[in-house]
Amino acid sequence: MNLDMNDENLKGKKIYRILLLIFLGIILLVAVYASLRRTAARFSRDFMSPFLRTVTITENEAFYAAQMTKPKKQLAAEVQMLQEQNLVLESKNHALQALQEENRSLRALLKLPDAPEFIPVTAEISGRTAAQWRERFVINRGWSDGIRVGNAVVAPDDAGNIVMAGRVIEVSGGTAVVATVFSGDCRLSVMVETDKSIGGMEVLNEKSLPVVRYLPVAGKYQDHAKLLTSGIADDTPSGIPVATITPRGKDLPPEVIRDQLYTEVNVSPLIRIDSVRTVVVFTRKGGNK
Amino acid sequence: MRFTYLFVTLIIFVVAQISLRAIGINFPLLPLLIFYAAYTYGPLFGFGLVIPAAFLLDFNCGWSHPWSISGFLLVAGFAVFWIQRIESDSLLLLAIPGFLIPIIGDFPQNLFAGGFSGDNILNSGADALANGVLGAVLFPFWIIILDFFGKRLGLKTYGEAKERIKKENL
Repeated sequence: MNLDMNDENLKGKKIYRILLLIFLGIILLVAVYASLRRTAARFSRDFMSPFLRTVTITENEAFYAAQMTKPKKQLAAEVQMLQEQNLVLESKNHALQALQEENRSLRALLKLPDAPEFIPVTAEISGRTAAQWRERFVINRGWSDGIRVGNAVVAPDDAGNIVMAGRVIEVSGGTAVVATVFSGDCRLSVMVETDKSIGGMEVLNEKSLPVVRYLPVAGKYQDHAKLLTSGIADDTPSGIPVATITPRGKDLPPEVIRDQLYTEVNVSPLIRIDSVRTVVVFTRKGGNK
Repeated sequence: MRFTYLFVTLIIFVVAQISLRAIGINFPLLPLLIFYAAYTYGPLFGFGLVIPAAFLLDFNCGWSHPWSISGFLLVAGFAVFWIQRIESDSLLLLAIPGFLIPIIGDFPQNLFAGGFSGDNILNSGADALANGVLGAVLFPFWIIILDFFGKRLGLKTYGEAKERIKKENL
């Protein structure tokens, strides 16, 4: 009987040790999960990026082959139109560069800090999933292309005008994850175009449209008024169209006053996020500070 | 050679599934591969594929966390159950795991990633059922294709796995 009791004691101690090891393992996993997840995410995206880039190249080749089925006259007309557009844009860019230089020298005279300069980088969407189709996607440019966390991402709307699409929230060597304006991870400082009031745009509930909060109570807000980026944040250029104010209903003002302190409006983003394929990321010259 | 074969097949399936997802088609290919690996080569290979498959798939689709681990673990466990419990190895019987694998291998992670709202449950549930029906039809063909390449490489096949288990039990 003594031997049986010893065996049972040993068995009990063994089970106790195993349970303790499992418990410690779980604690350790929880403690290192955040950094392990980030490292694993970067490694996975960088590992797969050459394969996914092949898919993008194949899609583009198929698109070009489809273009070649168009009549030559039509292709020539499209090329000429694009060349003329390029000429106009280059001329505008030249004028803007002169203004930028003037701005720089005036700031130096007034001993003001330099205005942030941005370099646009084009990218294509390489990964997306139905569960978060409108909230996030992965692009095929990353750290090596100058992209940093917080960079603004823009895309063309239906009319071809550039509008705000979202922000970069994770970066690896060759890829980046973008949280769109429909995601709770994307917060923007925006300005009402007509009123010049500034507020913060964010998504309060998952799968709902964004709202702009902390607008001045005394401001004048109209239905369908346009909202632009304010430029207060260093990593976002100012003046990019973001959304329009959504009407609340007939004979109702669009704004709602909260706590007698600030005004809140519902907004509809201008980006048609379902059909976006190519985006532009505004990287900071000299990297983020 | 098994490791190399599974590694290459894993990359191909990940690229295919991400490419399909990017155009809005959510057919789960990786759970089928995990089931095949666990059934044909043993639980170690099946469960061993879970974490790399989940990491490569989820992080390349922009998810913050590898939610697919939940579904993939269920699929690997289901494969171990299927080979131990089911007596017949008829090809037509593959329609049952072909129907169940897309549901148990894809539905849980869509709920974790998209939230437990009514809309998401309905959408993900509808997707899972549609994928289940498609899986029931396509799964036997996947097995034939994977076995074809496996046999050319001198590896064990799905059809031989059941015989092996019976011999081991005797």
